[in-house]
Amino acid sequence: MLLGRSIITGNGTGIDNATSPNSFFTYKDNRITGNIKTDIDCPMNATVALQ
Amino acid sequence: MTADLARPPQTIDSAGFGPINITKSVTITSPNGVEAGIVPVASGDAIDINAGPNDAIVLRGLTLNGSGVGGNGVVFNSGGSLTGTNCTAQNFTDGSGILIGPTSGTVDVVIIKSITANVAGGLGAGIRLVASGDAIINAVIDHVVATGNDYGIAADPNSSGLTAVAISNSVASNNLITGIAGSSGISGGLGVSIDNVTASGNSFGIAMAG
Repeated sequence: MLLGRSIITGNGTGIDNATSPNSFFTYKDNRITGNIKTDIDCPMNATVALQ
Repeated sequence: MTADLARPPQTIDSAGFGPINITKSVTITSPNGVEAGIVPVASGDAIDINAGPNDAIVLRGLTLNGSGVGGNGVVFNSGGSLTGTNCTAQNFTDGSGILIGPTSGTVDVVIIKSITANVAGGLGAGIRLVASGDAIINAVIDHVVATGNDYGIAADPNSSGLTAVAISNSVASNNLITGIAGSSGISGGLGVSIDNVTASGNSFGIAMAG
């Protein structure tokens, strides 16, 4: 799972990451904010360095 | 009306049409300015695709309207590829706007500049990708609006199915459950890339498991 340059806002939960092992990666500028319950309910992996 | 379309291209005029069963390669085009609406029977599908492994199906400019009683907009059971451009699937109650559900082979799916807006409550999705058996789905979803569904865009391969989907420049908002959902099966595989997408007003913006 790779998420980039996206806006996740105004949801109950912004990101529900239940991947195991953790395979949720982000890159560049995401705006995950303003969600009602929580923005991110499980940490995502560090930003991927794109070539 | 039920039609088996055998020879591309098929251009249709402004009118309301009954469900279509596609069994071979075909291009169905509704040109700009033409309103071609395809309406299923109650609990039925607007377009069913049961084609051969090398068949290419192209849908352009179609409006699929479940009228609150239809099952699915498009159900892709078998074929080589599906390209949907400038299509709308709306008001389907029991299923999904576009359901890609092959059980074998490799299927290439491209959905561009389309809208799915269905009636939430039937656990359907705007676009749902379900690879089962040994099927492989390679999907590109670009400039799509998925709103008012239970799931906006969902990919949930089961058994040993594989799915790779790239979602870009799209909106998945105001869906009852999840904007973009992904879950891989016991031995299935799922890869999702999301780029320049807005998810808002859902219970979950993005939910991934597996």
